[in-house]
Amino acid sequence: MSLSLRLLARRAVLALAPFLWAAAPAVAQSVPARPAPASPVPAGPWSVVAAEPARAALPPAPLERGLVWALYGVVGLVLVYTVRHYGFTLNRLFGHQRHPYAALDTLDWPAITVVIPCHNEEQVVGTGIEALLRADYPADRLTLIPLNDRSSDGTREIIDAYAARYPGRIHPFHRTGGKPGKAAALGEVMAGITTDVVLVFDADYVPGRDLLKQLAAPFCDPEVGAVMGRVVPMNTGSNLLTRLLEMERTGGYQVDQQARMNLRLVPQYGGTVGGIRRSALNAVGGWADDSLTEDTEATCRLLAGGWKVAYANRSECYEEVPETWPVRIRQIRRWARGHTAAALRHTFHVAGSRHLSARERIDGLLLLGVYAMSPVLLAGWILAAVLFYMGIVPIHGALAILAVASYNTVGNFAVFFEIATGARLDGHYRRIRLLPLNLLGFIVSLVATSRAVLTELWPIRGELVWDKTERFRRPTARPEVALARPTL
Amino acid sequence: MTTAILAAALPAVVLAWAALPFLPALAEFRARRDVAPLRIREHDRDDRRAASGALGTDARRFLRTPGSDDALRLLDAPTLLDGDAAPVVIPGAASFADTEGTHVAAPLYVHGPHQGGAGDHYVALYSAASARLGPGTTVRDWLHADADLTVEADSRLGGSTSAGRVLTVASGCRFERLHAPLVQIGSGTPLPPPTVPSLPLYTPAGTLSAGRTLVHGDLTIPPRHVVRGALVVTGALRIGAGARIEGDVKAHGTIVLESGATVAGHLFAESDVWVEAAARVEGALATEARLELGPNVTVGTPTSPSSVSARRIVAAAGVRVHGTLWALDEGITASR
Repeated sequence: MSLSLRLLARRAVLALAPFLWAAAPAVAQSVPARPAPASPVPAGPWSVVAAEPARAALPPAPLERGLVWALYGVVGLVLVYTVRHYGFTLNRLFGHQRHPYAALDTLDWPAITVVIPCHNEEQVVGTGIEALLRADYPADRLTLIPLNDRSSDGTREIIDAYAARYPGRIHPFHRTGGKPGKAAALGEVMAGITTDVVLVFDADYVPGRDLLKQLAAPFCDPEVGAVMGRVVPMNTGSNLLTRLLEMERTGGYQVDQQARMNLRLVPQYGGTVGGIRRSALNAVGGWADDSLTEDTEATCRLLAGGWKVAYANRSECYEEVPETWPVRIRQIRRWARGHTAAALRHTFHVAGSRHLSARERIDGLLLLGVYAMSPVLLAGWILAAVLFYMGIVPIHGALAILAVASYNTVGNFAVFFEIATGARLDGHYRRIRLLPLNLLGFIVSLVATSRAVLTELWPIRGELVWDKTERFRRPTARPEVALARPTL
Repeated sequence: MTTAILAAALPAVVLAWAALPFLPALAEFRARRDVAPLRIREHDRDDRRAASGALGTDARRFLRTPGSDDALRLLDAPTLLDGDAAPVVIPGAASFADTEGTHVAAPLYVHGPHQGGAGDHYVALYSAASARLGPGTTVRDWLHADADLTVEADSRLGGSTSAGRVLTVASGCRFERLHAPLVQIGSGTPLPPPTVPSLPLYTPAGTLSAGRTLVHGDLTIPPRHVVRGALVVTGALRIGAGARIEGDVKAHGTIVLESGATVAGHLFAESDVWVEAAARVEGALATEARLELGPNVTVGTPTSPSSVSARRIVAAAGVRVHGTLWALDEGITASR
């Protein structure tokens, strides 16, 4: 074999070595390493790679020891999330399924208000309002408030046209100033709402006829402070990204959220396709108007205040998912920043709340830490590589856990076995084959989330910027133009 | 040399192995065989209820314009014993009272009153007037009468059973879902209209927030006291005889509602619930476990219909529910 070929082979092994480490220790051990020590290796969860077995290893320096323990810390965290997600998946497949409010189909239905936050939503707002007007809910107990937050397109005109066409049913709220963002807008509109049950649908959501009753029923339970329904992408077939996002949503709702409901843990209020008990939210401080994720904030506040979030998996609603990667990246960065801010504010509240059971506290903390796992995971990979090139080999099993469990860990996008399980529960067997391509989404989200989390943790953060998610639907439904049913 | 070849081959083998799952993924990506959005079912578990409404609508249209629907058959009662599964429409009244064990193999629409015999078996039955089913009747999918519906003892009612006015189910029956403006079990005596007595106030020790008191642990409300506001108890809850709660109630543990007690709101539990004789719940009553309704218990009001749901329900004679009584696993009307 020529020298260049041998060199190439060696470089290939060097490049892949961190990943092959666990699987092929013999190859890894053939890589040259630091000179061997004369003294015996102290007991510890590491070994030093020796080029010649006759030489003994040097005791690791404090820095090296610290790096190794940091790596084991990462592996431990990864393992915790992996076990959590396996638990959720197994529960969904074999456990008792809780739908405590699904049978409440006859009630003296409470008066409710449906808020539709809009910011430049002329493409979608008409469809959403029409769907709500068709809802099976007593008209005298249903108030629709399209919340126009400083729109500069035709959103205002569309809303006003609907209000004129359905007098008494639609009460527009036009916001022209104040803090930007959905949380601040909700805070303003909430002051004028009189009903205790407030449902929220983002403008791109298209609720079915029964959905309002399904979401209102859980509020009969005096322990419920918020209700969350299931989000179902309607533009699944647009491109690869939408197909991957549909699978991700499936895993996140069909498996993750429902399992948390089953296990009496902490389902999360997601800010849309759901509702809030106004009196409960007011009692815990109202909407946080300086948050990018008012839903996570509300979830944490309600939990710490002794209220529960109910998840209704059968309360499904169509939404539009991003169709381009930049839009998706901006969306997930906003979520990650807002979620991290909520974690910084509420970790101690959740951990110390006397109203929560031990399992709820643990799950609440893991939920708050979900986005932070992205940079932690990246740090683990970097640590493993650095330690390898320093010639320090941690226990192979730990590295195997890191390698295998990495993808099973980060829960802001559902892990692969949750996605597969969710697709199976939905009866979508063929799309499970796309799962390996989700690696792409995983890497993109990992990097975007890590960057966002680190930005949020950085002492100088600058002004919060609300990135509105771009819509891709064709402009529809001005009342005087078109009142056709949406194509679903 | 051998080491070098191995070192070069191993990454190639590993990469090839890792690439294997991408083959079906790329094939599905190109073929786009499974790209439709998840179909959202608006009525979820109520498909059979929807089916009863659909048959009623179709049959009425069919009777107005005979021959308008090829899927329906216009027949007289005596010819019902065939094995054809196409729905049958009877234009007038029907009676199987003179025979026993009539087996109707297809969904049946009766435009007039219907009288069943003992031991009859139906796939599904729609009566556009009143209906009375004999003892030991079995209904597989659903049963509906536009007016009153009476089901005699020891019958089995699968799916949804509903009536436009009063649905009476005798003792010894098994059911899944009963729905009517008034569902009554057996032949209990209707209670007089409720009065709101003047009772001493009882204030449970707990955290008060947004008009709701949260109590950690068990709680017993003494008899003939009143509690104002919603109440959440993380343990077991016992509401004393004649007591009244003016608000919604939830307990993580068991709930016992003693005789004559009233909840003027909704009642939720995560464990078993016993509602003793003549107790009253004016809102919904739901538990994730077992529910026993004692004699003359009332749920809902004529002006505020409501739902009762549990995995297993045992309802004694005299129970009156304004709305829906839904047993997710099994419902039984007690024999006494």
